[in-house]
Amino acid sequence: MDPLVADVPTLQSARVTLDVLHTGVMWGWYVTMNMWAKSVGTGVLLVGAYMMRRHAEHQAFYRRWMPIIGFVFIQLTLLFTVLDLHQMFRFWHMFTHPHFTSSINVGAWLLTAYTGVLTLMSYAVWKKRDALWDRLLWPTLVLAFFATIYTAALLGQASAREVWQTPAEVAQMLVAATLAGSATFLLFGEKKPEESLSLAWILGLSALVALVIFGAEVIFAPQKSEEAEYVIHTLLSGDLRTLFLAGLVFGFVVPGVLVTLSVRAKQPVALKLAAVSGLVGLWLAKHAWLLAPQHLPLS
Amino acid sequence: MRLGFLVDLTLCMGCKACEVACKSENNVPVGSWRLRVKYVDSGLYPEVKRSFTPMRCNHCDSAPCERICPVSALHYLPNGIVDIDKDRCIGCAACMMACPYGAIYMDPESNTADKCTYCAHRVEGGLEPACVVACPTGANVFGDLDEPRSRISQYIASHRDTRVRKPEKGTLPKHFYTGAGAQHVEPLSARREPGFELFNRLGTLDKVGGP
Repeated sequence: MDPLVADVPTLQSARVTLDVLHTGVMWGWYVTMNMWAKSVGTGVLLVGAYMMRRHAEHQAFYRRWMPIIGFVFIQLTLLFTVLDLHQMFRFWHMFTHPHFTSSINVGAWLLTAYTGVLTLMSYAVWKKRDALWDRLLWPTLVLAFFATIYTAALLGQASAREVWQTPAEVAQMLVAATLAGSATFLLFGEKKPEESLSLAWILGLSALVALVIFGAEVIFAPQKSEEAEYVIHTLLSGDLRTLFLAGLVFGFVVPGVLVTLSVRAKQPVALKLAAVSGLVGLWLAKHAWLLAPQHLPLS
Repeated sequence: MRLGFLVDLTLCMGCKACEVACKSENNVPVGSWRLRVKYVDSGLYPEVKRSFTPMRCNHCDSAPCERICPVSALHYLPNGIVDIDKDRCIGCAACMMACPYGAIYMDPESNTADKCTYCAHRVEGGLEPACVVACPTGANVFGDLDEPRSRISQYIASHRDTRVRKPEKGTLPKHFYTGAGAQHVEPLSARREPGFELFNRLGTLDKVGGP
């Protein structure tokens, strides 16, 4: 014990001598996988749409792979969502007993609709029906946007868990999606140098913005409560320090550095490494962010 | 009608009769609690004091668990009780993420969320909650907060030190304490060192009762 505290015969020397065991982590790596896969599943659409516009001459690649990659990763999202339920065979209650004040329920409908349009887009790819594909693009982008940010609303509703309610959570979700989407495209398929450069910019800027937001939220901003301080302490100095800092370094610092080096030295291999590092680091940072508030005693 | 609860902590002696009555009445599984009593020791020898805090669901007027539940398994009864439909619950644990009081647990037998319901089944039959009946000192006061002549309303009116847990969360709890200090209602006011959970660390098999 801190000797300064030990000498003070007040509440600071109070200790819990009988209580129930802390509930521990209820939302573990399944939920992290859910959020990470969703970042890829919506990010490829958001980034892909930009790339189609920026590099119209190479849009065939994005036309084909945007809906397919998006579909696969959204199915992964849904798989981990269902696996995390203690009563997974009651998942259909979401639709038969919907409660629309719940972000989880709204998210379930959004992801279902998103899956539907991605399926139609994939069908359009298969049947080479470009007109159908074009008509579906805007509704899909709107759904991708809201599917990306609904998790921020969900974390905001989890009001017992400090720091999840930060206003920047929406921005954090969006940059996670653009980071994951650009990293996925950098790893996947052959591209012209100018395409890779555009993707590298998106990856680098996303990493930078994410790092700035985390810095502002975690390091520089005063916390609103003792509980929030406790959670931040857990992230920066406590049990999750290594995980969180590894997430920041691999997710945002390394991609930023490698993108800069790659652009200057024209080294495409460095971009692939930046993409892998970004995806791994994003998972680690999200996992630490998910776990930290669950270490807080509530009673 | 808005049913509420008040615990006079100056009367509570930590006997855990309420805890036992609750488990017995509601068949709460081994290792789980709808209601529990926390002990906090403060001061340094010989100036040492032990305080007791019974804790249960706060049945908030603005319950975050009710809002976040995706299937309305958590819902309000007309008398203000926040009840749970275990047959509807999908076990997403979102309510456990939302409840600032740690009042909800995952039932290891049914694999669904569960919590104190103020013994809604007894209240419906005109009885008081089991914990109220079992308390030997009358520390638990239960009644209608909308009725000025009810014992709980009069208790609140006559005790200026009445307070709730975490009012800053804006949940409008209907569970009050009198005679409470920080050690009773603020989780971080007391350290938690290994051993406090020793007598409550009772095991049960994982996933008993199917998926």
